[in-house]
Amino acid sequence: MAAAPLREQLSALLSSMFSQGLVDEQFEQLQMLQDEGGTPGFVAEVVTLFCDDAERIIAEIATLLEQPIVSFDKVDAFVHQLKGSSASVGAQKVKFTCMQFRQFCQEKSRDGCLMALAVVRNEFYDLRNKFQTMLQLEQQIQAYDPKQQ
Amino acid sequence: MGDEYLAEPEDEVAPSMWPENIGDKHQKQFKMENLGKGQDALKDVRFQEKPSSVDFQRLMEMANSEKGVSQMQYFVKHWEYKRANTARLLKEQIGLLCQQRKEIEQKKQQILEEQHFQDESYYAVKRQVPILDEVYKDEWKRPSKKSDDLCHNQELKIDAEYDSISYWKERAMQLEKTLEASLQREHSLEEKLEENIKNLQSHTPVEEFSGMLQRADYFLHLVLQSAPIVIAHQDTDLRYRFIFNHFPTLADEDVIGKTDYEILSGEGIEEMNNVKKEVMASGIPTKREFIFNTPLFGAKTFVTYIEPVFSKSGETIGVNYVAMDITDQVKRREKMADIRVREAVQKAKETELSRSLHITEETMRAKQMLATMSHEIRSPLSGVLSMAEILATTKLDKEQYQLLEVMLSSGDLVLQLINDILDLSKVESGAMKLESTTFRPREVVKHVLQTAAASLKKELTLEGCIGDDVPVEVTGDVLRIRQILTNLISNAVKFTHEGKVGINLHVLDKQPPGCRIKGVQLHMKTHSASSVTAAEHSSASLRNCDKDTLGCSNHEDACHTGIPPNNNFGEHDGGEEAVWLRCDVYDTGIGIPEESLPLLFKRYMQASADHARKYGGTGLGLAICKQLVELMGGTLNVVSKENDGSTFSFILPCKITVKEDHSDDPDVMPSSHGDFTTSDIEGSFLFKPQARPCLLSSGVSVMKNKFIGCNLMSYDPPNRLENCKLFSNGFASAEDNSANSTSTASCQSNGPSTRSTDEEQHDNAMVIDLNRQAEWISSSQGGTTSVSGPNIHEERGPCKVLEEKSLHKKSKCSQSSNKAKILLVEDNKVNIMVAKSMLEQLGHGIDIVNNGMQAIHAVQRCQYDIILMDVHMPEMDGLQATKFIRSFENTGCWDTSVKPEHDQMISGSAMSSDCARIRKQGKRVPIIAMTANSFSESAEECLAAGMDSYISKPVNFQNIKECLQRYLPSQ
Repeated sequence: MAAAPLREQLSALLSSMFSQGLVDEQFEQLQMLQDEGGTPGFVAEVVTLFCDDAERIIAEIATLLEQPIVSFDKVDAFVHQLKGSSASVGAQKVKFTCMQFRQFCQEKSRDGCLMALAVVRNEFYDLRNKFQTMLQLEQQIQAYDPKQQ
Repeated sequence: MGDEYLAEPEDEVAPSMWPENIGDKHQKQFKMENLGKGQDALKDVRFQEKPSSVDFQRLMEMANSEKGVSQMQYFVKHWEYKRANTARLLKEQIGLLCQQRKEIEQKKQQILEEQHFQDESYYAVKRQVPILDEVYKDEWKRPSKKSDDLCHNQELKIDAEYDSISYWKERAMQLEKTLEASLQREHSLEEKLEENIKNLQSHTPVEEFSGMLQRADYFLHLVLQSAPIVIAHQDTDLRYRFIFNHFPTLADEDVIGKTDYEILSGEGIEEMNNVKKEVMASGIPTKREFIFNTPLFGAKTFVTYIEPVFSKSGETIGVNYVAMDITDQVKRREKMADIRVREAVQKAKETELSRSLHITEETMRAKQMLATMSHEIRSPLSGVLSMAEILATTKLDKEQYQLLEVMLSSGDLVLQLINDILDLSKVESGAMKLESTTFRPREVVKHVLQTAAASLKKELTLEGCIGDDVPVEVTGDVLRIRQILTNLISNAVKFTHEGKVGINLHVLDKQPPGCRIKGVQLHMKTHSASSVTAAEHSSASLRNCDKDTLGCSNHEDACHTGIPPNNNFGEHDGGEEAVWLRCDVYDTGIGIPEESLPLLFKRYMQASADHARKYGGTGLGLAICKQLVELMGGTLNVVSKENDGSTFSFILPCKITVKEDHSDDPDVMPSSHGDFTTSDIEGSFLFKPQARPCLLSSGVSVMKNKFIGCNLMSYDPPNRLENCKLFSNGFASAEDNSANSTSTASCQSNGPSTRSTDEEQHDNAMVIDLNRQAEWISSSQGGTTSVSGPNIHEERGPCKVLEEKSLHKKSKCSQSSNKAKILLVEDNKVNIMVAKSMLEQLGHGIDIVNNGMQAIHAVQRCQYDIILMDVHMPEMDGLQATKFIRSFENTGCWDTSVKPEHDQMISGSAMSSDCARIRKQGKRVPIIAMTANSFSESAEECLAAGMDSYISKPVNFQNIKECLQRYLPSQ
């Protein structure tokens, strides 16, 4: 019974994430995979993996951009990776900012890259916060569920 | 004269007596005072020519001017000062002389006293020389030190004979001599003094002035000797009174007393004279540049300083001017200015160029971006639409159905828009390729009208009229033609509120020049037989084409299936003739204002903003139509009158295919086909509005979009399938292939029941047709299969897809029963996880490797049913790995020359996989690229590398499933 408000909260959070464009239908796919495939915790797993991976990539990019001579190809490769990950998870905003980022990489503009990195970082942290809230909620719901059933 | 004057003080006491600092003040103004020392230099200088010409009378007049007066005053002062100085010197000299005189007198007194004493003593002894007393009396008055000394000496000398008479005589004589010398000296001194005084008086101010002036003159000459300067004075009438010209071209007498006009003629003279007059009038000096071009000295530029000259009373009495030739400088200056201007122009041009370059780049990028984004949007959208269509086939209540209908129509609209954008960018970039297929114009027109009628929501009559001379079959890109027609019709419907919309198709009587038409030959009977194969082929290729536009292009497939019909027709090249078809799409709508006509075919342009608001749309449709028509070698025109409808006409060249009876189609029953063909050749169609209930027509539109790949299958094969198109699309084959499945049966009964009402009016035989067609499909498929051995997979593949799709439609739980083995090559952990989960859910076993190299190793170890390959990977990318795998499949051995470092590992495993190789050889593993759709990963590249298809990332359930269904061997 107590899970109901939590569920509401979760669904409100999710719908706000969709409506803000933080995540797209790909994320929905993940949820669908989880629900239909009967693999509980799949979304949590993917999201955690994505967050760790993205954090690592962002750190790598930041280090690369601090070098006196920036290897834009390397940066580009990392951004590409991040774009791929975010696309897979459905982290739409991060994906879009990555696309912009790649343009700056192609232009070899350090300032542009730094700016884009800041944007990507912002978007990512924003998303990560939401994801964390989401996972917490899910955990709480799960904590309730078995007792109820 | 001046020289003498100067010489004097130098020789005399002046240099020592004259205080050095006295002349300082004057020297500052009057440098020529120093010239004394440079006397010799002056002597050397010879003024061979006297460039200056002077009117001396005028000089007097000028001297009367204020300046002249001040000059004069200065001279007077100077002279007075000098005189005072001289007087002082003379006084000093006189004082000196007086002193000397006094001393002499004193001496004289002394001597006299001495003499007197001696005389007394002498006379005391012998008073014998009184005579001399008288004589020498005066002489003693002029004593001198010398004479004194002499006296004393003499005294000493003659001491010996002292007091003798001879001694005294001697002494007297000596004294007399000294006296004489003294006198003489005195005299000469007096003379000198007198002369000096006289000399002094002769230095009147006038002489001094002229001396000074002369020196100044010389000095000036010296200074100005080589200056390219003209100095002149002109009076109020601007007649020359003085001129200094270092390079005189005219004699003095030619200049003095004349005006500029009299001397010179040509450009610039007038201007200079005007300025001079101005200066005289205003009394303000000015500096100007004048450009002269006179016959006398050619084109020259002078900078001229002109100043007015005033008389004592303040009246202007003329002008002085100094002019300097600056022709060279001006030339240089102009050159500089010219260079600067050119530089500025260049710079401006450069910035303009770079700006336009930038804009072009931006535009290109924006276009690319638009295309990419459209592409990315299209894949998920088609997924959504497909799902919605599936949903439409399930049991829904009326409200749900209506909601779904809205959803589908909006989705269709977006899809259409995206397709438009992609088409346009494709045509513009030259990537649009036309596919040559055989088609029946009548059917195309009919289908277009049917489709339009199906989605019609207005009370409109749709009609089609096809000329008798239009060939039954022609060759062309039916998809594009259909696209054009559909677009024009939907436009016409959109802008027509009542009346009718129609298509007229006929052969153009007057062919455009350069096009040979031998005459239209219709081979009706042979047609019916051959059309089936053609249709079969074209249907296959069309399906692929359409998939192409949908985003999962498969060029290879297109080739495999698209080429055979062409080859068939190629045999009849001699019999091919071209015909120009003219197609008019007319309506009775609102028409187009004349002024909007030229804008009509431009991108994003609509007749007016009002229309855009009222009717929606992007304004891309007509632009695409025009481009497509032109791409096919035709032209598109419009005739329109406001409020009186419009007619869009296009003419297209089409090849007529003249064929003989094909005997290799034994399965086809000519007679049965003949029936359908004749019914098809009818020349006109009519769709009346009242016959279409809204719900039903919308239901039809829903069906239309479903699984477009299959949809077209039923569209385009002539005669038989088109009739049932509105019905079932995929259902026809579904029924055949899974005839014993109950779900199909139920669905079928469900399907026709919703739509049969409207169709009955047109085709009563429809339901019967359905069955026959199904039979025909299976039989014809069987036929092809048996004939074309090597193509069996390609041919059968699509059929399987068809089956699966239909199966899937009926029962959602259709998971492939036997596990396929899939190799997933991907380096991104997140992507792997997602893809893995999806594939597992589909019930497939998967192996995962992280780069191309590992993928090759995996292929060596194991046999896979399908490989999903990321393009962008570290170490070895997907393209390269695919190339290696393909080359292995073709040659049977791994490429050693390209990658020797991998060879060892590969050769090691090559032995063990020998048997696998034998198995694998000749069999192609389907390799599907997973592209991120960025600029670096183009679909063409993937296909060129040997991949079979591609799915765009992010991988979603829908596209991965479709892809697997298509490429996995049948279960």
